[in-house]
Amino acid sequence: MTNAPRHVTGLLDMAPHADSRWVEDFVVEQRLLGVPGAQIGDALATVEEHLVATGEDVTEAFGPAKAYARELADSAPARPRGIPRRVMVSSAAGLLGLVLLPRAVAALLEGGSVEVRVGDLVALGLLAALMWGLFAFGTQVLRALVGSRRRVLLAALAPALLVAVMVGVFALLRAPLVSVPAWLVGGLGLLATGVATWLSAGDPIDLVESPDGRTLGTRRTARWTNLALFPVLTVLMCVLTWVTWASS
Amino acid sequence: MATEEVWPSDWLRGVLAVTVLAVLQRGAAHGYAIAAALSEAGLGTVKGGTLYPLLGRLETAGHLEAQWLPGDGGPGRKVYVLTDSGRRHLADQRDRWADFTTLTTALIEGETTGVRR
Repeated sequence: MTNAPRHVTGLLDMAPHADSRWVEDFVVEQRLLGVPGAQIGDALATVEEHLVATGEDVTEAFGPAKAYARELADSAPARPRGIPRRVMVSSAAGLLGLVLLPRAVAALLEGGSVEVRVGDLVALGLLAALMWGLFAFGTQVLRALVGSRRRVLLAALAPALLVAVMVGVFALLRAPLVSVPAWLVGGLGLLATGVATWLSAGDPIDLVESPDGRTLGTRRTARWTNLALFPVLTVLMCVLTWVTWASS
Repeated sequence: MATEEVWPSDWLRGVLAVTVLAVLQRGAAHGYAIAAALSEAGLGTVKGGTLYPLLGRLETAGHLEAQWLPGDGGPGRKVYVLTDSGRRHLADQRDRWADFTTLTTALIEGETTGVRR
């Protein structure tokens, strides 16, 4: 066993004697079952050790990947299921900042205040319902996506469909309700983005990690990606708002 | 159960845990060494897909511990060691298994007396 932590770029590096599809199916199923990354890495190392020692084929020795993943998960200590509350709050706050800050920027550029319309409330309600659905049925949704043969198409179409629905709601339900100062909306947006970033900073980084400390990807990259996701998206939306205003 | 049909799989399912503990009582062993010992004892081939989840359950129950030993260019080998709890569990299961086999043998062979615990 080596002491220096290293990282690998592909799952198959964790169990090179196994079939790549088997390894992928095994890891996806274990992730869906909420198995921690270190346990997944331990299991892959055990598979590799066994295959090297016996010369057996991975399916011959361990059976179908998903069934083995489920059986192994059942044999491990009980673990919390579902999405942690901290991640829910962080995502909701990040999404709120993503909606509020570009609106504030648009209002500031126009020199006016933010007009809250019926469409805004409906869109907010739709987003809240969508988030509740994702958090309540996250595992089922992910399982359906991963299990679908058209998962790439679904992953590409789902955000496009969401944007289309939102644009439709904003365009059709334009009746004004109330006018809010841009600085207040901007302040709330900044606060929401700040809360999301602060909460994300405390998220545990759960990489697939082999017993000798090798990880799939680096902790540093994973932490920065997690931390920067909402701020970067929000800044991009604000820049897009400015570009749209400047070119109109 | 993924074993060659030396013995009915239902029988093996009931006795595999205690036989694994018995193998580990001889000393620490790797997973495939445990499988080899079971095979040499005449139980047939126990596949990795059956053995490692069982070892995981026994580890979760505190009957054994697992640790990785260094290897060349990789994690090395995972070695399983019987704990004190495992020794006590094995002793208890061994006594009960002896009673169980006496009772079932008497029943199958048509004898009227059996062991009462």
